Amino acid sequence: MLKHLTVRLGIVFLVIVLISFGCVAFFQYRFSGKSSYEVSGARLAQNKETIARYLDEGQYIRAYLLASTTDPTGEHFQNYPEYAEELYDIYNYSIVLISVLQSMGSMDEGDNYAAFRDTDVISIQIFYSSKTDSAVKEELTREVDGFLKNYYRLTEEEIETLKTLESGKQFTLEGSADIEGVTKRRMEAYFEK
Amino acid sequence: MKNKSNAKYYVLIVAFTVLFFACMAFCFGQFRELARNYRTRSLSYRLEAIELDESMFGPVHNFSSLYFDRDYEKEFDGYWDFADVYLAYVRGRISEEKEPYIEEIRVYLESRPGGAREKEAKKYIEELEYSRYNKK
Repeated sequence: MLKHLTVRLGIVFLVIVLISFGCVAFFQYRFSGKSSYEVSGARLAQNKETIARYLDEGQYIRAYLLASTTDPTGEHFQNYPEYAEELYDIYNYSIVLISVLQSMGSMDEGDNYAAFRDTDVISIQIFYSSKTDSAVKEELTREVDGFLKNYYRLTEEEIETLKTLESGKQFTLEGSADIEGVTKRRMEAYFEK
Repeated sequence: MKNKSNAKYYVLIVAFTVLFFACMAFCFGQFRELARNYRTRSLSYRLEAIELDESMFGPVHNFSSLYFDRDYEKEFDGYWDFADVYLAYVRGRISEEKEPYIEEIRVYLESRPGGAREKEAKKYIEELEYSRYNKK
């Protein structure tokens, strides 16, 4: 009697524990960043339509956020191959844009703001290295050129040097590797800060 | 003999019960963490967060909130509209040709957004027009 009770109790407990572990594993997968739930079937088709609409309307960053959030591969955009190149350009552009906005915000608050840093050089080189031939890339390139010329106060020759600089080589301004110091001086003179 | 085998079964029952409750406690912990993570990524939580952010710091930070919290859904349309105005202002500030950006902000104001957003957008136009005339 006791033997049967023990065996049956053991089986019941085991079944409940296995079901619980199964539920935990399923929900961890379903709600994890690597889930492919958001990129299957009707959802995927709807996401693609929305991305196309955002790109047409010029809401590039919004299109990128939708794509990278609903793709288990993040910025590889494996499930949006038709837009992958443009989305990758927008991703690189967004890094440059955020850097400019943070720098400008600090400058307005009178803090010791960051001017043009080595990390910005790398982000911009990655952006320019993409050879996508699209209207989106053209528009974003014009904007990034504008940031370099009008915000960081680089000359046309310096921008051209930056675009053609070989990987691993130091970018210099006025012969100096202290590009942050040089650009800060120019920005302070221009923005009268 | 019977007592010894009974004792064995009692020990087994106690062991099974302890293990069962330990596993249930672990699953409960995992579910609670999942629920917490899901809540902070849920649409309603993010909407609440950006609304609070805007009410405390003004609409200027809308773009950063949208970008870092990945708020792309249609429920954030109003916030994106103002974020576009803010970006137009930033581009206008640093570019020599300010008219297209002033025009973009004017078009936004025609939709009468009201509140802090309208006030901020009007401030942007004033600042861009002032810098346009001063640079001439």
